Amino acid sequence: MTFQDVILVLQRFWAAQGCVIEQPYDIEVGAGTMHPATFLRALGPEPWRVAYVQPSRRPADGRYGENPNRLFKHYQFQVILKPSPDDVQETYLASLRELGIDLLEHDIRFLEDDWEAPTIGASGLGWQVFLDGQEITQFTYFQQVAGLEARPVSAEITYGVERITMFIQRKADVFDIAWAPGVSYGEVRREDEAQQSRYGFDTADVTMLRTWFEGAEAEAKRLLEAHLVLPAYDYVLKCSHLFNLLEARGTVGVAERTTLMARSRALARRCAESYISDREAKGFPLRNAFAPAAAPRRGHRGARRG
Amino acid sequence: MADLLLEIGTEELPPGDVGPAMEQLAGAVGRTLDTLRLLRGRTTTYGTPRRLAVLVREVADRQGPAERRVRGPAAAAAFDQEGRPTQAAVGFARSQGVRVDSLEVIEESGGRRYAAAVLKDPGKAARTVLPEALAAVIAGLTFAKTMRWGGGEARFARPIRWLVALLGASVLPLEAAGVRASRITRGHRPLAPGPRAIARPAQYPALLRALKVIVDPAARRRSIEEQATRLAADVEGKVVLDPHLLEEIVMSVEHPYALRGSFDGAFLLLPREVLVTVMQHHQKYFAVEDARGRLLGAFIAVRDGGPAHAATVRQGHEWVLAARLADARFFFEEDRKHHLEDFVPALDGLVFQAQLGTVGDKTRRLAALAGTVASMLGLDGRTTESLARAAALCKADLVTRLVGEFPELQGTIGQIYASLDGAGTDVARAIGEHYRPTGAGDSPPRTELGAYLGLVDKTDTLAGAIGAGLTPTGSQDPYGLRRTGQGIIEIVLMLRLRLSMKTLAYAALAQFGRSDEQVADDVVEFLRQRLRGTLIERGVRYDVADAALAVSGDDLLAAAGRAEAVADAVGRAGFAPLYVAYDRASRILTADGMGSIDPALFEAPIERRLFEVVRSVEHPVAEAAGAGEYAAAMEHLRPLVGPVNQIFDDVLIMAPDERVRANRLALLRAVVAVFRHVADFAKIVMSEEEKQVNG
Repeated sequence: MTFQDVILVLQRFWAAQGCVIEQPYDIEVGAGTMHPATFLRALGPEPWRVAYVQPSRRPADGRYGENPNRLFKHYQFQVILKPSPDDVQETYLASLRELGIDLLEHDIRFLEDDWEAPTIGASGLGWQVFLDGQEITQFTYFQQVAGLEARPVSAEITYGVERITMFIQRKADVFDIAWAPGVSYGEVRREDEAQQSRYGFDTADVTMLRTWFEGAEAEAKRLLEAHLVLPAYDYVLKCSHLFNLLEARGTVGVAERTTLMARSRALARRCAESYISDREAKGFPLRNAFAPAAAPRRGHRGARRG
Repeated sequence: MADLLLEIGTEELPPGDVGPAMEQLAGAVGRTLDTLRLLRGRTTTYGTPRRLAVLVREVADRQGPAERRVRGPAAAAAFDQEGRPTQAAVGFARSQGVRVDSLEVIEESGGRRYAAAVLKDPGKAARTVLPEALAAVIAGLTFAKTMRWGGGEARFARPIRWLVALLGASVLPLEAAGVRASRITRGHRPLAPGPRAIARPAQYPALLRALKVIVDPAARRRSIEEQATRLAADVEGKVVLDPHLLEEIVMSVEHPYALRGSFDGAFLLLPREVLVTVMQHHQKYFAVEDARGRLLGAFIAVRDGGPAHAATVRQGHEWVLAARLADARFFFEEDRKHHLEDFVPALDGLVFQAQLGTVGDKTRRLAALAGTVASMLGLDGRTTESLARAAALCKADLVTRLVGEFPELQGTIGQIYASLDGAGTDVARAIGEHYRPTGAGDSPPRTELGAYLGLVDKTDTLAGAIGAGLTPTGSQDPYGLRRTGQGIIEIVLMLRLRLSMKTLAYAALAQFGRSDEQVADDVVEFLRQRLRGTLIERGVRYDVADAALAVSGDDLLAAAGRAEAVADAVGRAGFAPLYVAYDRASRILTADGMGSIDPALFEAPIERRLFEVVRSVEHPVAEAAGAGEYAAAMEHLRPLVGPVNQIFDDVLIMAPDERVRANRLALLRAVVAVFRHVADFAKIVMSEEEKQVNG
C-alpha cells in the first residue's frame, strides 16, 4: 500500500461514514486542527463530520531532508466527528482494517494522552494510538476550543500518514516509502525539505518576518472589527506560521514566546466568539445536518436504539 | 440473598486511574449498602483499562427494618394533666400517619420533653432501592481529570460505553451518563469482542476470562512477572521490572502476553540511562540485563492479546525500537563531537525564567555563589575547586541534542558527558544529582558535592524568584518553589549543615544585584515555614515545631534538632516540671523588662541559690545546645526546677521595693534565657491535667 493509497482509502472510508471530504487549507498551518474545518466547525452546537488531508508545516522540526524521522512538513489525515459518536473507537479500528491492518495480527493500544494546543486555546483528553509500539494516531475528545467549552464534544482523529505508511511498508526512513508506484516520498519531497530547512533555519529574514507578524496581527484585528471573521482567521493562521518561523530561527526568547503565544491565543479567541455569534445570527444553519440516518448504525447502543 | 454485580464499561482509562477508582468503588458500594441497611457478604473489585467492576456476594433481598422517631409538639402541649392526648397530639399523629396512642415522649438534651411519633420502616426490596443508589455511586467516582463526550454533560475519566448491573439473575434498571444498564458485557478487543450476556454475578471473573479478559489486576501482574522472568531467563538474562512501568502495563492491558525482542548489540555502546529511557519511558518495554547487571540487546514488550501472530508483533516492536535507538545514537554522536563545556556559551540563548535571565546568567551566578558557600562552610581547597567546576558545567547538558530529545535525562546526560570528558567522579556525580530531590518520594543528592551543588542551585532559584515577587500563594506554585525549598531543607538536614540562611540568601541576592533585607527575611521565613511543614509531616506536633522555630532564627538545622529533642521529651514524665518552671518564670515577665542582676539586692536565701544555679547551668546548657545536643541541654536545665518553684513560694516577686522587684525579675529573665537555648516552652500546649499529673 503506497502513501497515496493510505490517503485514498481513508478518504473513501470516512466519506462512507457520512463525512464531508474537505481539502487541505491553502494557508500554512502547523496541524490539521487549525484548518477552519476543525477549529471553527468544532465551535458551537452544530453537528459536523469532516475528513481531509492537511500538510502541516513545523519549521523547527525540519532536518534538511537528512533525518529519517523528522520533517519540516508532514501530512496529517484529520477526521472530526461532532458530536463524538458512541462507537467512535470501533469505527476508527474499522478504518485500520481498511488499511489492511488486522487487529488480531498486531498489538493495538490506546495510551492516555492529554492534548493541548496553547496557541489556539484548545485542549482535550484522549490517547495516542500505538500499533506494535509505533504511534500512528492522535485521538482526542475536544473539551475546550479557543478557551470555550466544547458543547457538544467533537472527536478528533489525526492519523500520521507517513508513520502509518512507514509501518505498513516496513521502511525505517520516511524518504524511502513509496508515495506512488515507482515514486518514493524522497523523490517527491526531499528537495522541499532541504530548501525549506535552509530557509527556516538559516536564511529567513527575521526583521521582515517580525514586520509581517505585526502586519498580519493588525490585519486580523481590523478584519474582526469589520465582522469578517473568516478572512480574520486566515491572518491569525499567518501570525501563527510566522511565529513558528521566528522560533525556528532561534530568535524568540522564552518571555517573548509567552507574549506572542498569548497574542495569538487572544486573536483566536476573538475569531471563535465572532464565528459563533455569526452562526447564531444565522440560526445555526447546520443544526439538523448529519442526521443519524447519514451515519451508519454500528455498535451496541446504536443497534439497540435502532 | 442474591449476589450483586456492577460493571462500568469504558473506553481505555488512564492506567493511573484504575487502581484508585477500584478503591473508591469498593468503599462507595460498601457504604451505600450499609446506608441502605442491606446486609452483605464479601466484596471484590476488579479493574482493567476498559472496565471497573464490583461483585458483592450474598446481598440481602430486603432492607433491614428500622425505626425512626419524629419529634412533635412539646409533651406539655401534647398531653394534659392526666396524660391524655390533646388536640395537638391528635393532629400530629394524623400528620405522621400513626395512631395517637402510639405516640411516645422523648427527652432531648436540656431536659425538654416532646411527643414523638415512632415510624416503622419495614424496609424495601433491594432491587427497588439499589438502582438509584448505584447510579449515585457511579456519578460520585472522582478522577484526576475528567471529560465530557458526545452531547452529554456527564463527566468521567473516559467515556462510559456500557453498564452491567445484576442482582441475582435480574438486571437492575439503572442509568448513568446516559447509558442504561443491561446484562450485556463485552470481551477483549479484538480477541473476543462480544457482546455477551452475563447470567449471574458470581460467574463474572470466569466468564470474562473466557472472553480473554483477566479482570483481577493482581493476576495480570503475576502473569506479566512470570512471563517476563521466563523470557529473560531464556537468554540467560534478568528482566528489569521497573515498578512504575509494571504497574502502568498491568493497568493498560486486559490480557497480557509478553514477548521478547532484540536489538543490535552495537546500540549497547549508548549510555545505559539512554537505552533504559528509550525502552521504558518511550516504548514501555522492560530492559533485560545479564547476571552482572549489564544490559543485553534484548527487551520485553507486553502485548494486549494472545500468542497469535506474535512474530509479526515482535518484528514491529523491534523495528520501532531500532528506529528510536538510531535517533538516540545520532544525537549522542552529534553531542560527542564537542566537550560538555563547549555547550556552556549556548546557555545564554536559553531563558531560565523571564525575570531571572538566561541559563547562562544562572550558570555564572552559581559559580560565584558556590565560592561563597564553600567559604561559609569552610570546605577544603579541593572540594571548593570541584564545586566550582561542577557549578560551571551543571546546566550545559540542557542545550545538548540528547536532552532536547529526552528532557527527563537532564543532569544524567551532563554526568555522562562530564565523565567521558574525564572530569572527576565527584564532579560528574554532582552534575547528575543536583536536581534532586525531583519530587515527593525522591531522595536528596547522595554525594556531598552533589548536595552542595543542589543547595547552591536551589538557593539561587528561590532567592531570585522571591526577589522577583514570585512567592507562591495558596495552592498556586507555578515555579515549584515549595519543592525547591523542600530540597534545601532536606540537603541541610542530611549534611547537618550549620549555616545562616539569611547570610546565604544575601549572597544569592547579591548575584541578582540586590541587597534588600526584606527579601532575605522573606527567603528565611519561606524556608522556616517549609521546615515547619516538614517537621509536622514527620510527626512532630505543631506546637513543638513552633517552640523550636521561635528560638532558632535562620538556623534550620538547629530548629530541626530542637524540635526533635523536645518532641521526644514532651510525652515523658519529667518534662512537665521543666515546662511548669519555665511557664511560671516567663509568665510574670513583661516584654520590656531590662536590667541586670545585682546579688547585693538579694533578700532571701532562695534568690542567691537560684542565681548560683543559673550561673552553674548556663554554660553547660549553651555548650550542649551549641553542639546540637538538645536532649543533653534539657537535662542540664533540670537543676533549675526546684529553685524556680521555691522562689515563687518563698518570696513575693513583685516586691514593694522597686529595686528588689526589678532584681528578681532580672533573675527570672536569666532563667528564661537559659531555657530558650532549647526552646520557647511557652509555645507548647499542655493541658492542666498534664501539668498536674506530671508536675
